[in-house]
Amino acid sequence: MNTLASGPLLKIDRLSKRFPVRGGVLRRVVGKVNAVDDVSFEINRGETLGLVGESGCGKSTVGKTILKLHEPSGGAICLDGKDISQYSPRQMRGVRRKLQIVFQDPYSSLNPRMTAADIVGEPLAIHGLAHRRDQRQRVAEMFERVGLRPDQMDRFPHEFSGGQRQRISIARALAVDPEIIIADESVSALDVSIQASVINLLIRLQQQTGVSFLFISHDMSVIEHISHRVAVMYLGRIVEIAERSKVFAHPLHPYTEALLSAVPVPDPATRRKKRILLSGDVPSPIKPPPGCHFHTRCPIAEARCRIDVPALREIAPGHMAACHLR
Amino acid sequence: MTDTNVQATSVVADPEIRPVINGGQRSGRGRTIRFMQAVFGNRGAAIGFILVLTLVLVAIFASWIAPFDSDQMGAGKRLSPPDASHWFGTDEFGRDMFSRVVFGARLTIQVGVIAVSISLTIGMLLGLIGGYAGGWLEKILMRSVDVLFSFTETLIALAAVAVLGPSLTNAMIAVGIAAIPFYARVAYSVTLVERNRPYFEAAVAAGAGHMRLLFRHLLPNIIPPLIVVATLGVSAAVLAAAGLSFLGLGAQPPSPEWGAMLSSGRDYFNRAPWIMLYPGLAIMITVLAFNLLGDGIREALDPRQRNT
Repeated sequence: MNTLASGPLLKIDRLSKRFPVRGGVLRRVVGKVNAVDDVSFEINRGETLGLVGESGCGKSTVGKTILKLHEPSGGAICLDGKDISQYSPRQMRGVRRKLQIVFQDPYSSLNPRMTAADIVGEPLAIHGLAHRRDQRQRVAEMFERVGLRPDQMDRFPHEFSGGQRQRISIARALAVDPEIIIADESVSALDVSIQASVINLLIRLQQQTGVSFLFISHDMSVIEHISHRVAVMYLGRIVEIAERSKVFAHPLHPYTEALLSAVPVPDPATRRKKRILLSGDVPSPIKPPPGCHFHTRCPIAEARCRIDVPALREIAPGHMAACHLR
Repeated sequence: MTDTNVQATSVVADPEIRPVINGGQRSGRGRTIRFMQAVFGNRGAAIGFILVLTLVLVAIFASWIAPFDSDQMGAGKRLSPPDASHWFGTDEFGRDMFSRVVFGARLTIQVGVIAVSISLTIGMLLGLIGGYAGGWLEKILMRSVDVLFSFTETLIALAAVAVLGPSLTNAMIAVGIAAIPFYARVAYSVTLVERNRPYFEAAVAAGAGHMRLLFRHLLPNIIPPLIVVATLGVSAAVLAAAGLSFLGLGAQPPSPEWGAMLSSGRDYFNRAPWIMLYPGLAIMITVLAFNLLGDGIREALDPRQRNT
C-alpha cells in the first residue's frame, strides 16, 4: 500500500490489554483485569488526540501499551502503516525514536543520578544521532527550546523545580525528533499556572515541529485547551470520540455529559446545563458489568444496555459514540 | 544569583525559570557535603567514623606505632603482665602483645575489605541481574540464592574453607562467599523497586539496551542502600574471619590475627588473661565502630529522617 504516507500516523485497532490477577498461596491466575478493551483510534500528523477519563479507566495503560512498555494482549498498533504490536524488544528499539513519552511525575521520571544534560542527551546517544561534541550542542538547543537555560545543563534533577523537570522530560522526548509524543498526565502534577505554561509550550512545539500528541488527562479543561480531537474512555473502552468542538458542545454519550457537567464554570452568571451527578463508584475492572459498562451509573439506561455491548458508531457526521439510545 | 542573570529564552519567559534556592554552582559536591553533615550530626556515627579512621591509621602506620616486631620472640619476659614497656603484656613466647594487636589491625582491615568486596560485587551483580531480567533467569538465580540463604553463613564458610584449605586468604574468600546470598537479596529487592520507577520506563521507551539499563540506570541507584549493608557487613566479616581463625581454620601461627591470638591465649587464660583480653577488645571495638558508622550512614540516607 503506497497511500500510507497520507494515512494516519498512528492507528490503534481493537487494542486490548489484560493483566492477570494472581491469588492464593501458589500465586495462580485467578482472574484478569481488562484494563484496555477493544480500543481503536487514529492520530494524524501534527494532531493532538486528547484521551480523557476517570482514574483507573485504562488511559495510561493505552499509552504504555502503544509504547510496548506493556505487551498488548490483542489488536494492532500501526505506526506509519507498520504493525508494531508483535515486534520483539530488539525490533522495537529501531522504532522507539519515533515514539516518545512524557510521564506524569516530574520527580521520579528523571534518573536522580544523571545530570540534566545526560538525561536529555541519552536518546541521542542511544540512537547514535549525535557525536559527543555535537550532542552537547544539540542538548543546549533543546534546553533553549523548552525554556530552560543551557547553563543549567550540568545540574542534577533535584536542583530543578517541578515545572522545570517537566521541561527536561519534554526536551528528552523531543531530542530525537519523534513523530508522536505520548503525554501521560504530563501536567497533572503541576500548579495551575505552571500547567498553563507547559501546555502552551507543548502547543508551540507542535506548531514548530509538527509532532503529534496523544495527550492523556483526567482534566477536561486541559483537554479542551490542547486537543484537536477528544476520545473519552470508561472502564477500558472508548465511549465517544470526535473533534473537540463537537465533544464539548454536543456530547452524545451520557458519560461525557456527566463529565462535562462536572467542569467548574468560572463565570457564575453563565449557568451551564443541569449538573448530572453520577451515583456510585466506577465498577471493578476485574468484574465489569455486562452489556454497556456504564449502565450501572447511567441516568438513562434501559434493559438492553444491561445485555448488549453498544458498538462505537457514527451517530452524527464525524462523531462516534457507543450508546444504544443516541 | 539574581533574576537579571536569567536569559531571555526564545520560547517563554515565565517566572518559573528562576534559579532554585541557593542557585549558583551547586552540583554533586553540595550533596556530598550535606550527606557528611548528616552523618556527623549523629553522635554514634561520628564516634564510629573516628574509630574506623583510627583503625585504618593504626593499620597504615603499624610499623611506626608498634615498639616491637609482631613476631619478635623474647621481646620481654614470657607471660609478663601489662607494664610501662609492654602495655598489653607479653604472650607465651615473650612477644609484645601491643605490637601484635597493632599489626593485627592490618589483617583485620584486609579481611573486612576483601571479604566484603567479594560478597558485595558478586551479590550485587546476581541481585541486579535477577531483578532486571525477570522470567526464568530471575527464578533460577534467586531460588539458588534462597537455597544458599537457608544455610547459616558459618556453615557455608566452614565448607568453603574445607574445600580451599585453612589459611587467612582462604578464610577471607570463604567469609566473602558465605555472605553473597545476603547481598544478592538486598540488591534484588532494591532493583525491583527501581525498575518500576518511571525513569526506568522512560529509558526503556527511549530505546536503551540491556547494558545501559543495567549499569547506567539501575546500578547507580541501588548502590546507596548497598553501601549501608556493606558497612554493617564489614563487622560481620571481621567477626566471622576471627571465628574461623579461632577455630584454627583461618590465620595460622605466628600471624598476629586477633581471632588466632584469642585461640592461642586460651591455654594461658588463668595465668595471663591479657593475652585474650586485648585482641578480644580490639575485635569488639572494630565491630562496634563499623556498626555505628553503618547505622549513621543508613540514617543519613533515609529521607524520612532528613531535616529533623
